[in-house]
Amino acid sequence: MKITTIKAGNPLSVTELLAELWQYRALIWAFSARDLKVRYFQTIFGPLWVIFTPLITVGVMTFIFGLMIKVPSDDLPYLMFYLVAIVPWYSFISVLSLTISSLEGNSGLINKIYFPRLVIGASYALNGIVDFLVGYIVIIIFAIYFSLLTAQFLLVMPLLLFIQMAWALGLGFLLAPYNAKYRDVKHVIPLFIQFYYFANPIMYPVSVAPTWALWLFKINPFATVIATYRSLLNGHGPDWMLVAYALVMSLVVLACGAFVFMRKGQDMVDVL
Amino acid sequence: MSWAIQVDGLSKKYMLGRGHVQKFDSLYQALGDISVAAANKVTRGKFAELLPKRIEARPPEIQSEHLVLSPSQFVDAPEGEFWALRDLSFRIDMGQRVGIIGKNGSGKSTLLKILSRITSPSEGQYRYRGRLISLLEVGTGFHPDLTGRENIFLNAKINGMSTHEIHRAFDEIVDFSELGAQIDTPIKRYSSGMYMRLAFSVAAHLESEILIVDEVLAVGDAGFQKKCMDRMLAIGNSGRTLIFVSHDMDAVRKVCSVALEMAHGRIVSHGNLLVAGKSPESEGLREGAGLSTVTAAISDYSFGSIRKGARVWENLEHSQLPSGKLAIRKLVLRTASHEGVERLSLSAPFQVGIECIQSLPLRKCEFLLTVQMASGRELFTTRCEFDFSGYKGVQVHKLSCDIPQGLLNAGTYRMSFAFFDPENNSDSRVLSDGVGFDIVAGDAGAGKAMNALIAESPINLVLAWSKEAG
Repeated sequence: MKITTIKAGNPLSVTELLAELWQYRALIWAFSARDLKVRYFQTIFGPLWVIFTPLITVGVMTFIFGLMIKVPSDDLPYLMFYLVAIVPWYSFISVLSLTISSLEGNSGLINKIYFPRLVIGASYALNGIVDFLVGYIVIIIFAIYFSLLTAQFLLVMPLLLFIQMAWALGLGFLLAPYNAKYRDVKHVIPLFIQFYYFANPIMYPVSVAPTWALWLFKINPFATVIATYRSLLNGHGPDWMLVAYALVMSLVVLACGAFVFMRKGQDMVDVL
Repeated sequence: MSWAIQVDGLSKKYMLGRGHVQKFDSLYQALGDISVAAANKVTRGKFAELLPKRIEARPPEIQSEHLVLSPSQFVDAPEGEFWALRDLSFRIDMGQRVGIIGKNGSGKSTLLKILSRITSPSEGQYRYRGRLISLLEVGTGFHPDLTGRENIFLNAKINGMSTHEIHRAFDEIVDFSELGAQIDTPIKRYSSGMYMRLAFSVAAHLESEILIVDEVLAVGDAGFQKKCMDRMLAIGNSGRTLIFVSHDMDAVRKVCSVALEMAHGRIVSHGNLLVAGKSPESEGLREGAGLSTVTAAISDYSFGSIRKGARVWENLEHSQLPSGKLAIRKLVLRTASHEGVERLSLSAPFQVGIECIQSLPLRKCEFLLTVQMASGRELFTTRCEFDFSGYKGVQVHKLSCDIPQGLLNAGTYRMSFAFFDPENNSDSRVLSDGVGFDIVAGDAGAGKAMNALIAESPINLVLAWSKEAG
């Protein structure tokens, strides 16, 4: 029989951790199925809300920024211009904010039972992917309507989705233990999210940014994700250098985040 | 025998009070002090008594053994921290059923949290063999909006069971819960009793080599509680390692074979519930002066469908020692002329026959027979140790115990059995559903004055009475 040893101040090694995550893989699905079921329990429109929320936002933005303010849109129809920004943004931000509060928000569970805590964040990411894919179907329908759909737009999507989720999870894991320990973090997060919303080319295209600020978009993987969707719709290829950088950056953050989360998250149960 | 859990020098430090996090408490206090001092200066102390006074937060100075924290728990601990557990070392063998008892704050729950990996130890290490499942709370992770069925799957997966294993146990879980068609109702519409039933049913069917249970048994109505206790006994009997924590000594006695008593973060005594006083390291349990026999393990069981007169086990797996060395095959009540008698006469002696099958070498085995009333209350226990050495292949042994006439008054009774290897106490089996019988006054008892208005105790002893002449 397998012998498990637990030593003080000696957390699991990476291989042990991966083995354990594999053992608990069914739980990732179970959590994510639970959240999906529960979210639309006692609603009439059910999963359609995944589409309604971004569509309403996009409609408002199209009206205000497109028809009233006339923000440049890189020659894209405003509806498309905002759709490819808002759909990824909503799934990104839900994964990020849920993961940040994953320890605190599940303290009832964490206090009573052991399972690898990373499972919670992973299940949020899975739900974020589902949300995104539903929204993506809407994007495709409108892209066909505007005759903007290209093969590349479909083929590059999984990579962009991966970058976006790795980035969200990585940041979430990094911040979750601090959010559990110092409740100050909770007060800062909404502010941070608001800043980040403006720091990304969601309401405006990167092309209107002053040249001295361009680096800010380059180091930010999520800005690259949105910019790439837009340039793909315009028929340009992705800037592979930028995408490769965004991929590396998000993976590094994910690895660091998971490491910090494992090291610090384990003892957070004592302060929850 | 091989170990299931081995603990070496385990310690756990906890913070006292709120710990270091709330730095701003002291900032606020400093601001308050400054403003009070400034106000005093300006008014030259005229209105000092009107200013808000701060109540000094000082730890109480009285130290006594009755406090939850004893002074020993601060020894070698950094400022503002204490030892919730200090230097625990023990070993639990496979198949042992260990009860952990102790007052509130003695460290029981902390120990369980560490054993179940919810929190990590501050010092020391521990090892366990096989899979470990802990039930510190029934229904952990239940979601009110999900149906009973969905919650069964979710809860079992949180406890590390695979989808395949859950499918295998699913029908059994639903049967055990007795929820029937309600299983597809969202559990927020359940009564709290139904909720508990569902939760315990899942918990009772989790498969693991080691099971840790924290006072979760007190659920549901009386019938369901009995079912839960039976299930716990069955888990114990199946050779799995069980750790059970409770304030309820009766529950511990029923389920466990060994007890650990904790106080102030240390183990203060450990003892054998089966044969207290027999093992040399047993100091006896302070709380448990009376927890000496297995008889206690068989209390409070209502009758149910117990067989009368005789009982035969077709499947010896349900009536053998976990080691498989010895099994009871048949229990029979006999009189001088008949075998398998259900109705016994008040005025004639009878005999309990026990037929065992020995299939492995075994030196000794101790048998306990407990007679209970229909209500489940125990009346008495009789015990005997038999020699089984000289094993030469599978062998049938016939044991018997004579019950004298007139010992039991008319009524309905049952007998339960327990037997164990005195050299290895965890190798034990409790047969709570032994055999039932009635004692009737019969025609032989007709001569006796039976007054229905006078309550008689079930046991009737023949003692020496006398009357002085005069």
